[in-house]
Amino acid sequence: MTDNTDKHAVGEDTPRKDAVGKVTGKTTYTSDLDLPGMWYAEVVRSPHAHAKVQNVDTSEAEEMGAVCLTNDDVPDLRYNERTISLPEATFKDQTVLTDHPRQVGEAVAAVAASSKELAKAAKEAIEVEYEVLEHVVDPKEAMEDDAPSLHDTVVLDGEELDIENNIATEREIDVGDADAGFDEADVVLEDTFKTGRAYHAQLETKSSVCRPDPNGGITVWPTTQTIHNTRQLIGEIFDLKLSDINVKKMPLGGSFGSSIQMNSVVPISVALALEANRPVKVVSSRDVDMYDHCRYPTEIRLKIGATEDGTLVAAEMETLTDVGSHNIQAYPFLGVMGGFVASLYNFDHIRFNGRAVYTNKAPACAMQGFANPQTTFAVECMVDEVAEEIGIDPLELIRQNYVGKGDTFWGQGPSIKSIIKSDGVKELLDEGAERIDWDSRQPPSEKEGRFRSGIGMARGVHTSGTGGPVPGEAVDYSGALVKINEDGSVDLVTALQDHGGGTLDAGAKMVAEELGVPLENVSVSPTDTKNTVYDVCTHATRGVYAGGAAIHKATKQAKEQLLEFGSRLLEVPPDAILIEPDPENGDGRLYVEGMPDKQISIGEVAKTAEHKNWGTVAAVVSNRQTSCPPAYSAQFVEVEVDMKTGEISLSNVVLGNDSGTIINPTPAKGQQVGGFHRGAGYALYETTTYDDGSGQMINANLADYKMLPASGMPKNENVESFFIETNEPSGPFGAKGIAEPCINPTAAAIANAVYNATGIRFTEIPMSPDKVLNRIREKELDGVDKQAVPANDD
Amino acid sequence: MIAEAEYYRPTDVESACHLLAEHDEAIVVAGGQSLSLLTKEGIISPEKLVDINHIDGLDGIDENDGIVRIGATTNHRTIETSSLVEEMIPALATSAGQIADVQIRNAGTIGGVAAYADPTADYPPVFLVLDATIHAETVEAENTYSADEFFTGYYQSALDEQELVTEVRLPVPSENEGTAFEKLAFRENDRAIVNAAAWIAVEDGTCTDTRIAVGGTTNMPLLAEDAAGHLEGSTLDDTDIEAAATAAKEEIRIASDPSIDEAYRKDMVESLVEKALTTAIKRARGEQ
Amino acid sequence: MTELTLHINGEEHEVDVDPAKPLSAVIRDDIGLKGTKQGCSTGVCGACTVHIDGEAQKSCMQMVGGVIDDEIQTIEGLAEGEDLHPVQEGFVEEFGLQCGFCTPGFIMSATSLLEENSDPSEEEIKQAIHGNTCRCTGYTKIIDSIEYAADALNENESSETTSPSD
Repeated sequence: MTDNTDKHAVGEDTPRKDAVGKVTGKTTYTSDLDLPGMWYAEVVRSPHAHAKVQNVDTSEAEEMGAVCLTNDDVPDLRYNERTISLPEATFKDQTVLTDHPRQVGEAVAAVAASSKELAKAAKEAIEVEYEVLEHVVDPKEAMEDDAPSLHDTVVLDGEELDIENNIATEREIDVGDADAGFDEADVVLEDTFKTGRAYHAQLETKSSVCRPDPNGGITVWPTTQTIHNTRQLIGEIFDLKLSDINVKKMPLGGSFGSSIQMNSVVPISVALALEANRPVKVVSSRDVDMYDHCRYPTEIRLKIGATEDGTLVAAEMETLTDVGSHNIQAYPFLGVMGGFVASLYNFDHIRFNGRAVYTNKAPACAMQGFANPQTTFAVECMVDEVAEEIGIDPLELIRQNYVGKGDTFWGQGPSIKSIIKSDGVKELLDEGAERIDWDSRQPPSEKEGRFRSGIGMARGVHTSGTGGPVPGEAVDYSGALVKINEDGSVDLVTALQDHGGGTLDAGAKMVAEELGVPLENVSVSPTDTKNTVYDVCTHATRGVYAGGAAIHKATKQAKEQLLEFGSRLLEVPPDAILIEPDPENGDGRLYVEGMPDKQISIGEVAKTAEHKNWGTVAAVVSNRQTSCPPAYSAQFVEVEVDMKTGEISLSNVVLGNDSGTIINPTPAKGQQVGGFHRGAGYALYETTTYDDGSGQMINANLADYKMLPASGMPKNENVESFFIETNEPSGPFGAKGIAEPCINPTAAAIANAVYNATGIRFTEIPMSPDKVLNRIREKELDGVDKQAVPANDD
Repeated sequence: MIAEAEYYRPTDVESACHLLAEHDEAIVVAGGQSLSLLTKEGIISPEKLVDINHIDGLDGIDENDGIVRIGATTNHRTIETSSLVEEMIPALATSAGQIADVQIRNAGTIGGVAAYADPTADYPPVFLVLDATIHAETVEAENTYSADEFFTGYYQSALDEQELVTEVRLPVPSENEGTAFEKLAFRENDRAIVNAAAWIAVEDGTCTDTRIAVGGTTNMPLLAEDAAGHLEGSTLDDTDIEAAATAAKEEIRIASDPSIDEAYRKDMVESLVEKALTTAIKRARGEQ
Repeated sequence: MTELTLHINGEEHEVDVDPAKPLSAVIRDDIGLKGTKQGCSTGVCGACTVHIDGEAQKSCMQMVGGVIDDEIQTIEGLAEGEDLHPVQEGFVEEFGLQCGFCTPGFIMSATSLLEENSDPSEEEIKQAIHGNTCRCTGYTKIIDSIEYAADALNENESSETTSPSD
């Protein structure tokens, strides 16, 4: 375990550095940005689920003084908005605008004008002639021979790839011999699971401001998780040198994966700004945002075989995912699904088959967990059932089979693997079980009455970043610059983005800890692509583990230089110098043990270095983590099911995580609770649905897209959180990632609790009350339920 | 080119009515909560707006001679927190408090809800079971509508285009009478999937009269008359209440809705009616 | 356009706008106060919550023409110079925020609650914030932040009413 007792920043709770700006409303988000001479954009979007644009008449709009763009006016390059993966895994089917809209809401034209009102009027004055095409909403129908085709070809690694039957991509992974494995098994279970087409519902809708710069080039302020990837893609699309593009990192109003890819409003803002030769702002309305991105929905057929001594021997998973109008990252998605099956349990044999299909709906992209909530839902529900079949406690089955210390972990699918060095799973299970009083569980057959309680659990795992000893199919490295100012205060300069979880606070703490300066002396700089080196993206739970590692490395190098300067002044070798925080003097102090005369503050060193013209104490690094350690979680949930209305309430939850060293304690808990909350919404209510006939989204607004309200969470005192602080040797200060394990197991934990309460296994989420009541009725009709619900049983 | 609305702020009812008479296209702004949505969705483009929130005396709650009068621009938050309403017509306070959220309730008004005739609205079932009246004025006349003639269809009320709702009147239940309101929505307080209200009069342990209303299921709120029939004259045992709830389930129309299963909605009609009756009976008996 | 005068955070602002324009858009675009956010513009998420005559309301659902006689307070009007309002302090101390986009709306709802009810229960807090959506925090720390503020306000009050001889 890590001993953090001697640390002054890492592991301490300190107010967030961005808190005051946020609570006073002074923090500027992209949609708040106003620039002198800025015009406002409106985007003309297809009302049809599938159509071809025959003609766009912008004459009236232009007469109003608006600048207009149609598909003919913008680059026709096909690209993929997400550029994390290498070219061989990046399927390109997206364009800036289109004359072949493949979903309701796809952009066919855009205008900019001097006021919002004028832009709106101009947009309404644009006439688009559509040839309406047949559309398809159901992925199975989409694969039939007579289904309308969305993309005839896509571009993959420079070549045109034919698309047949709307199949965007497929993936197969085989380990061992699954059939032999099942033959050997004593218990074989098979079932089909379905997960919903959830929506990120980040509070800030996707926005972008682009300004042509006075001396050439452009500056862009987008909603993004990666300024560098955004810059590169803009350069590629508009044929601009990267040194002529500056992408600014903005405070981000939440993301949950929806801005890993460059958001589709970004190139539209660039095209309009270049055309108008002035700054242009695009802000998406909420319904447009809902048509912009969603989570990968899945239908999963899962088969698990186990021997009667409780060994999980074989798993077979077949997945169909409906990617919507564009293939943003279905190939990596399928890969990591298979990977997570391999990373949850030590199956000897695994067979994975995945297929991704185009439909005329919003395009799916990564959402917190990225294939793991889907996979974990199926696997952890089935493992619970396997344990019951065999007759052992699920916790015992987990202990026997989980992928832990010394095992190989598939960080992000088959190409990114590492050997596990830190593992707090047994402790997570033990402590979680104790806190929820796991041993008090009664089987479903003992439950009666109208309101039935049940306890269930599920285990989560996720990679910390996508690093590894051998580069895989994803780019993964981060960069940072750390410099000590002439008064001893410190600037931390990194492209690493913070979606709100406190990633940059963690970075600042690492700087403070390593340098021995008070945390108040470390400031996180505003950054852009011109003043930072490359950082791939804050995604895949890599902010602290990988981003932080780069920050830590830069700090160590800067510290070396600081010690070198210090040694000149103290006249001792650098190795003899230690640094400690000196909070009384608001600085850090270089000192030599046993020689009280030999000490100097960091500020003095920096000032002297300036006067003596030695230079700035600074270091800039790029860093790739050569591992992708799993962060673990265990969630124990107690529910109460109203057998009369189908409503599931959450009474008690216990959330445990092993993220190695915890850098920001309360924000880390914030990840646990926030992840659980989103996972509970995913389990109980969240999905976007489409009308077959029109291809319109039925619930394209926040009133009809149901998220769990505050009143849906248990009472605060019944939300328990704990951490098992292992020490991850490859992580900065022993840390691993935290975020995604916090959502991965939630749906299964709730479903398993509902099973314990009712004896009904739910294999489809969301489990809304109407669906729950249906299953309850079915069970009653089967005569299985031993207690009829008494009337008036309030 | 760019349309802009004309915004009027009359300070008395007569001026407001004149404006409505003068301008065909005029739209009344009370709480503005529903109006905002219609405008944003482009369903209406308001050209002339008549804001009635500055009319003195158009808001307020009082009780006289067994009738509670609530001015049209009284907001839901005021109704929800009114001790008079809580004491005399608890069902109304309950329904007010389950509308959306505090911010919306601070703005939305009872007159606006009535006039808008949203079939999922929470007041109408209460109006129906209490036999409330809705009062409206034009330049020429003052009209009174009974609740059961007021709601005529999908976002349709009996109001003439020029009529301005001025108040709602609800008879105060007597000591041997009880009212209750229940609502089901998937996020608490969202627009109702089903809502129900009940009013019941009990004498010597027997039901002498009752009205049950259900909303949210079809184009307008409906009285469940079969259900009421099951209860009248009964001794209000659990089986009587169940039978009434089941009758309500059978008789209340459910319009097709892609977002929610019809069978489920029917089950919830039964469940909510049962719950509303149980509470109303307890109140009639003085037990709650 | 119509010339209107609005009273916001104790100051008068002259604007020339369509009276049917949503107040949130006027506050942000015509007056330039960006703390009030637009998360949905359909009255659900509450990120646009302001005070109108002391009551929490969703400014995206209010036409500007209707509030010219009202005292409007936005998030910018809460702090006194550099001194944060106790609710703002509560959100800082108790980590009641992550991405921060929903935060001004929650703070406005919370201040309104505490003016009405100085010692709300957890249940009452949940009701008061029901009209505000947070996607990041899962709400528990928001509740803690509001409870912190309630304690701070009650302490301030009791220390103010303490007579010198106590």
